[in-house]
Amino acid sequence: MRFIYGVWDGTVIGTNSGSCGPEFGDDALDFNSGNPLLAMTGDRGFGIFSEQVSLPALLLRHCEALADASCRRCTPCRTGSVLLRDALQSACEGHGCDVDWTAVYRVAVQMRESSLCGVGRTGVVPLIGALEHFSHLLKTTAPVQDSLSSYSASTAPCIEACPAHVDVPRYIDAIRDDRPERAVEAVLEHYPLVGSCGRVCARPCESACTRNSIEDAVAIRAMKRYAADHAAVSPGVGVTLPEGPAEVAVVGAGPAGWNCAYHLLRSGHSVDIFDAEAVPGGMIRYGIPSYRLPKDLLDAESAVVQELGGRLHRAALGSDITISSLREKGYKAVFVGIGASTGQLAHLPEDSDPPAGYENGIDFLRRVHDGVAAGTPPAMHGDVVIVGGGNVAMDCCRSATRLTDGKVRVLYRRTEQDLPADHEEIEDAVKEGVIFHFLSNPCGLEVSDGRLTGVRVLKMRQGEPDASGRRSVSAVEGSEWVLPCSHLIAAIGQRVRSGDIADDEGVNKGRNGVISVNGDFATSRDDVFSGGDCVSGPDTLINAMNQGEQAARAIAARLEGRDPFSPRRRLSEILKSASLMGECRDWHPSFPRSRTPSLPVEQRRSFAEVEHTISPDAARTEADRCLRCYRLFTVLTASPIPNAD
Amino acid sequence: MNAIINGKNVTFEAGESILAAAKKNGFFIPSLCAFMPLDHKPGVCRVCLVECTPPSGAPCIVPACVTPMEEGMRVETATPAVRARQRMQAELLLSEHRLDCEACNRRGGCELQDLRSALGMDALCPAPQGRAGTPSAAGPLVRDMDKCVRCLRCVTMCRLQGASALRADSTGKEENIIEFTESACIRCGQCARVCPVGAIAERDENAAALDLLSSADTFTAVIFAPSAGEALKDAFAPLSCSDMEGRIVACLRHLGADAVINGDFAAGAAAEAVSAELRERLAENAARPIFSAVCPAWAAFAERNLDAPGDLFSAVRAPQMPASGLGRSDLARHFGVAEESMRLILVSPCAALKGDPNFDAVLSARGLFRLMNLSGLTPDTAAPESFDRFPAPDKLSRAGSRGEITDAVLRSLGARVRNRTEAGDIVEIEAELGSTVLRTALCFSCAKAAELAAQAAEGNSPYAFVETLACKGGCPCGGGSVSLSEKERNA
Repeated sequence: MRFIYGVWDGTVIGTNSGSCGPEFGDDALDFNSGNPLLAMTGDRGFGIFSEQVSLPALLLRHCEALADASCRRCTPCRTGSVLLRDALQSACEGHGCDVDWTAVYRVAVQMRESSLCGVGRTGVVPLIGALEHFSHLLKTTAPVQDSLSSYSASTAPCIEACPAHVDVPRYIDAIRDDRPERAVEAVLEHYPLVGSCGRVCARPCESACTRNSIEDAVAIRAMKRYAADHAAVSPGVGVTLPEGPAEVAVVGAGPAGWNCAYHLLRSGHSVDIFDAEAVPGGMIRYGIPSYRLPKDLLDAESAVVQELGGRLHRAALGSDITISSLREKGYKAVFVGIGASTGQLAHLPEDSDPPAGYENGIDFLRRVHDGVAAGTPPAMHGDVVIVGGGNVAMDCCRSATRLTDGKVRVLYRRTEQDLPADHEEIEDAVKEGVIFHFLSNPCGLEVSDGRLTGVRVLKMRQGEPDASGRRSVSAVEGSEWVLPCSHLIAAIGQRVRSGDIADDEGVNKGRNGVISVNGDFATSRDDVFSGGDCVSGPDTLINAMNQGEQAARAIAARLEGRDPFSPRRRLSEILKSASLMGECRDWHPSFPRSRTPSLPVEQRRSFAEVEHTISPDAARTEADRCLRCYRLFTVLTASPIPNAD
Repeated sequence: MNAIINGKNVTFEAGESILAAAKKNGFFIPSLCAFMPLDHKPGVCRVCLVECTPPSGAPCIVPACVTPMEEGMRVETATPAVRARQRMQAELLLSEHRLDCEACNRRGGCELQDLRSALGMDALCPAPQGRAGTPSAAGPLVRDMDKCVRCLRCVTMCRLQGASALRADSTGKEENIIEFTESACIRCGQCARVCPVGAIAERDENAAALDLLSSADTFTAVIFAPSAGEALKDAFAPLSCSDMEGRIVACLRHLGADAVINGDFAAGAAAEAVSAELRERLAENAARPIFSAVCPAWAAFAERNLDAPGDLFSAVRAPQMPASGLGRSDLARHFGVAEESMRLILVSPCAALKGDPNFDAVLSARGLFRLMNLSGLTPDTAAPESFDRFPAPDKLSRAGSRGEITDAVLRSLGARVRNRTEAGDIVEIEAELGSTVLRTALCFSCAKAAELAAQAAEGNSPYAFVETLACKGGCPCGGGSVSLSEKERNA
């Protein structure tokens, strides 16, 4: 499907011109079910799919959103956006002929050339295109028929990259304004673990940051942490919950379930949460060592769910409770967030009867957690070898350096460039003395008296790239060598405890035992939803929290008899599938990224937190590096769009 | 390092902005929000636009104040296209500004007027909308957000003062961008000192003062608070005449003042009272120091923000004049007039005492400067006269050069200063009192003083006495002294 006319990237596009513009798949024909997409504006221009649309009406909607989106700091956008909106208002009222469009054009170009941020610079692109090529359509003499519906949203590369679409520039702005509490509020709209996420998030936002092409991404995660560490935010007034038994049962108090409960409670639905442990946290508590995430912070930030009225019960899925038993008890909906908490061994012949000293990374990290929490971290002796290259492997090897008197090594089957772990984690591991062996894979163990004494390692060689673009690796015959060690920890993957859900519960599962869900996180069983690692496979914290949030929306809609459709999510889908968002190409001067202060290596023997918060001056300077690459999009449809407020 | 401005080779230091490098090399770039005395460069007014071609890229329009000059950069500050952009920015600023120039408190000293002149703007397009809001009171000041150009200088200054009563809000929800929280305001007036336009200014008491001065039924005494004279001399500095103070006294009498009194000995009276408290504290061997509260802005700050024990602060407060013999009845008696006909006008280096019931009008030094301009009086045309003689106790000391009373307190105690070290916002003073060594601190920052107070509350203070002046540079640079931007301009 293509535009019948429009201006895109400065060129006229459409059926009557040479250029085509962006291509929309058939999945974009309807914005929401039964509601065709009629027109669209964005940072690269505008396009109209249907004759029903009047150009002044489309542009008025867009400029109203622009005037609203303006943060009002800089002169051109603050003053100009209002003038543009008023001009289009006149056009829609039928006085387009009387508007001085030359003056309007000058103001729009001034905004594009000199606004402080993306809102002003890109928000005027549709109007400029229209004025340059379709101005005759704006010189109205009669009021314009406008019975169409619209939805507008501003986004940015960082916002799109974040699974939860947290408004990153907004909380950076709050830091610039010396209002850390407002920064925290912006994040609390998505999850309560602000400072925790500010310490351990995998930060896809930073990977997408425009400043990567100038010098370095903005230190977004460090600023979120700064805000959390400096703001005294009260948990907020809870919404009154209905009387009687809880409406929703959440199974799993890890990031997905806990966040699902958070959002349900905030929208007025009562929740009972069940977990095999007595405290919330799941993988973020037991799988992330204290030197990265202090547990008292996690406790403090998690408490809000209980303050809002959520009740945590200790019960294990499969033994104490089942999905059916919960439904029988009267819960109107169930959310399953059991994670992927079963660690795997390294696919060695000894896996069926592992000797002492050989374990999987999840079990290891649990032992470490329990020891540290009790004040007696488990002592280890001799060399420790970790197999794997992801963040779990880094957590394991850095924990091991703090516990053993021997060396700590990591075996990774691919190359250094292929390591999936966060590269700052890798740098810290190297600083803390971990030795990396690349293109190395274990093939067997040396055992003596039932105890591990060494691991047999094969060298790997790289082959051709596979479908995902990664080069395959294969073992080099006869390259075997032995690494002496007393501990071998396999951190190569995790699985869902899918056995916790019996086959007769009516919940379909997919590959590797993950739970199958549709776009609204609903499983194959009525009123049963799921999200997090047990759906996506082992993934990031932010992914799990976001899926909990989306599932909560779907559950609330179900309970209230509403359409669960999310226009914001739909917009992201269309932006991605039609590659609509433009790149930020303006030249900007270079300013180096601030460094996060951390403990010197000699002091990293214990599990005390390694990284520290940046100073207020550093936070302010870093906030100034943010370019606010906002892009404004407006869609026009025939009928009202659900949940578009 | 080398670059090119308007086709000419220029040198600059690494890290210098295009604006700074241009100024250094004699190239004018119009600007508004950038303010060097505070190192304030929010880059929001977007007036200082220049065309810049970085060594690695194509020509682009950038604001000069926030863009560092780079080796090999080519900058154009005044091509017709660039000037059109600069002019348009000023037009847009003016489109939301209430043009009230004739009646505005910044007439003649307004940076927006200067900008308009510099850009050669006569016809305005688009025409000014002129919002019809009303100014609002903000402590001793008046805020008129229809004149605000959103330069955010007041926000930076208020943060540096430690109060943060003025804060920016860029969510776009706050219509005026800048929020004012009255309960956090310490009334120093420094915000008015940095505003480039008439958006924030002291409450104007000039009309009331002129009425008092010209009334035949009343006896009007003008009293100079400690350091007010210094602040006022600064305002008239460009005239560079001898005995400025004497000439100002003459002008005031010409305006109708029945008496002009140098009240700076009130500082000495305060010092006496404080040193008596200190003597008592030292005799008790108390571990905690005394924090002076004579600076009214610091006193307001401490009251609102510090949860300190009651005995930490001295009971001596400004104004000290009534307590030191300069009260209404004392003056009436001295000049032989009925007390009901006595009127007092205080000239103060800051805004904090505005509204004080001991006086009938309080003018800041800047306010008096404007009053004299309004009346067509300049000191260079007056022959110097002396202050009215007033029986102030001779042995009372004056305030120090920055308005401080620490030296007077120590002298009154009988201590001898033997060492003084200045580091940032604190001056540490060591004095010998008999066989003991007293350490005192003179602090020019409320935020820093708050740290010292917290230290003292925990029992860890090394000082016997801490004096705090809320304004950097002390009272002569108070919130009522000559505006920083005018000072910068006249420099």
